[in-house]
Amino acid sequence: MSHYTSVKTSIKSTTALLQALADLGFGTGKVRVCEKAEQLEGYHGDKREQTAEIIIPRRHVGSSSNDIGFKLQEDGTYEAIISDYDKNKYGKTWMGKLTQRYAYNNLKNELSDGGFFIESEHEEKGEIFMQVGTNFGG
Amino acid sequence: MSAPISIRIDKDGNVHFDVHGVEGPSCEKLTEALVRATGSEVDKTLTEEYALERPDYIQNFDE
Repeated sequence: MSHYTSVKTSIKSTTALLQALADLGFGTGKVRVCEKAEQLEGYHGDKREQTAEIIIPRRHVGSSSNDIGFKLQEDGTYEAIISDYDKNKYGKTWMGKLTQRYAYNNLKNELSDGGFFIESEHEEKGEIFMQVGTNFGG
Repeated sequence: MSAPISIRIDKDGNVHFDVHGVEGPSCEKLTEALVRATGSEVDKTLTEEYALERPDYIQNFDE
């Protein structure tokens, strides 16, 4: 072993975020991608002040739910907007899972572009493990 | 030749890279792009292999 690095994941790639949402059941047709941020809807159909570029419409979130949004920040990262009501189901654990699926998809996308290849991968105790090789040697 | 990298993605989505079998500073460049694409680095550990650099006298031997 010669190098060990831990990285806190930032959600920056729209592609990988959409892949991660699809992994968690919000695939095409259940997510709206807007060129310009749109207002989120509350459970009465009321327009909220918060806006987002990526929106899971409330009907796909659950009964009596509000829209879930992902708002692009000035630093290029997405921030999740989830109502207090919906945090019961889509709280810290769900965000952790989403971030994990995002990191996985984002790495796979990057690996395929960067001369790397995946030798093996598996899940164990809720964590994802990948063995990666390179085509350009050490 | 392949240079194995072990990646662990924990339950919070944070990513841990372990580059092994690569000698010298080149190992740092190996994961740089992946780290940058993932997010912000929070911890790094370099082992003794990192210090293995080619001595100057070898580089100048043929000159």
